[in-house]
Amino acid sequence: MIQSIIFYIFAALSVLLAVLVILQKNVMHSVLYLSFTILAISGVFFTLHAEFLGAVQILVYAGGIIVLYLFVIIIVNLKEIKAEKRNIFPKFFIVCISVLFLAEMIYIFFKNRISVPANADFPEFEALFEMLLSKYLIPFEIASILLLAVLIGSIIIARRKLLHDSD
Amino acid sequence: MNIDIDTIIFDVLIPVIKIIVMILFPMIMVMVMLWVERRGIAFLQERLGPNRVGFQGILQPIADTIKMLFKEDIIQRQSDKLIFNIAPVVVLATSLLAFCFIPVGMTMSIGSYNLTFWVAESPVGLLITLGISSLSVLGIVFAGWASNSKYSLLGGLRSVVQLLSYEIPIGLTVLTVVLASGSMNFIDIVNKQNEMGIWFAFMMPVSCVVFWIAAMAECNRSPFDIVEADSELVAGFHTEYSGIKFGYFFMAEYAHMVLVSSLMVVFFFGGGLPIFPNVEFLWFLHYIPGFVWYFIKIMFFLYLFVWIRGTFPRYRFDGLIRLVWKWLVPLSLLNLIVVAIIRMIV
Repeated sequence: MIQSIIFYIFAALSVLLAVLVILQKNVMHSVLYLSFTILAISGVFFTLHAEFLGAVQILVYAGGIIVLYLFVIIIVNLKEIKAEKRNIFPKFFIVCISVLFLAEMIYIFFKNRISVPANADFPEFEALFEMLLSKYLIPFEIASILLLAVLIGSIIIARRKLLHDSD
Repeated sequence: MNIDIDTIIFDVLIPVIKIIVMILFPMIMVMVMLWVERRGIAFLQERLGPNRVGFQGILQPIADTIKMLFKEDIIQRQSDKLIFNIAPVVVLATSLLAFCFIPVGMTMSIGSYNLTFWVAESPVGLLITLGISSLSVLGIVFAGWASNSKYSLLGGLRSVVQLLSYEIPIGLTVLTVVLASGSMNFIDIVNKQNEMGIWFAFMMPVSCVVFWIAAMAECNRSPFDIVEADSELVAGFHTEYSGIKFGYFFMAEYAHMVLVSSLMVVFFFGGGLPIFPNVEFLWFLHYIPGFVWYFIKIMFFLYLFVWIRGTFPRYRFDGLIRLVWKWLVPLSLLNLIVVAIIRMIV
């Protein structure tokens, strides 16, 4: 009872904060609300007993990625978001995607009737690790090689100017 | 719906009391540390320190707090009001929230009820605590940016670089603790040290020292306090803050120190266990409750903070980054490999 109330509070908060993220003119305010959104989503995970997912959510997104966003915003000195003038086709595309996504969510909601999601049975995180390191070992390793390639590629692109300099 | 008195007491009242105590505990420790730090530094520098208010200046922290509460709360006209006001709350709230998984003592049986000295228990408590404590960097950067001042911004940027780099050795050394105990639950880590009859500090001295150095840098404490280096940046990210908002940052810094000392005690010095828990000869030590041992141990590390601050000069920025990337990260990686190999053999 209390648990599902807390679940709905966190769920409502995360939706509300996510809406606030896209309504801001100031980039820094968006990032502030985004970090709160992530915390609210991890709260949703905690109330669903998916503690590992919640922990990773905080550790990776709030602790890592948000800080990178902040760093980029401060260094590039972004202040305000100016409305871009787009052609009709990209506009149409953007609207279509969001409408499709909403329709999909409504369809799933009415088909499966996921009304009280508290106490959902998430797999234990130990089972998750075992699966990652036994059954899905090759995709896991390929993903890490991809990440390494991205890392090296970005360093090379960033240093290209320096490499062509005489000193 | 029938609610008997037992459920109210055991399921509502005791958890609520625990939560209140765990929020008040770091706050009270801030008061204690204020006195310990000022007197301790004075002692190291052969001064007297504040000794006028109350016996040996023991009421000085209360006087300071009251002064801070009544100071004018200045908000810069140039600042970003929303973020400027939220940033101190973010920093303090994350510091206090991280305490909810820390076991402050061992389980105590009172009649048929087992009183536990932690607010929450989770199989991934360690991960959550590390995640929450790493959130304070967000508040610091927000504060630095929102103040709209050169010194604050520089302090904020420095803090990102410093805190992100020092999180790597912390993660790697904590992994060795997880390997040795086979669990990410704080209570299991403490119990494993009881079972093995040895504190992890003596089993893995390298992890212990690397964790302590990196954790001290995470706290922005001297000699790693380049984030708020007084002689270069006035006061770093909180230059523009005054009154109670500055007080929030101040409390958060001290609460973070208490948190780091607690983690150190739980990971490497047996949490609420007495010294030599498995020696038959010292059975009487078990009659001293666990939270007393915990308190004695964290007081030692809190004093160590003061001691180190009074002893070493500040690192320069490049030296600080060189220390973490050229020494601590390779050392902790090597340490992790060695611990993993030993764990596989034994």
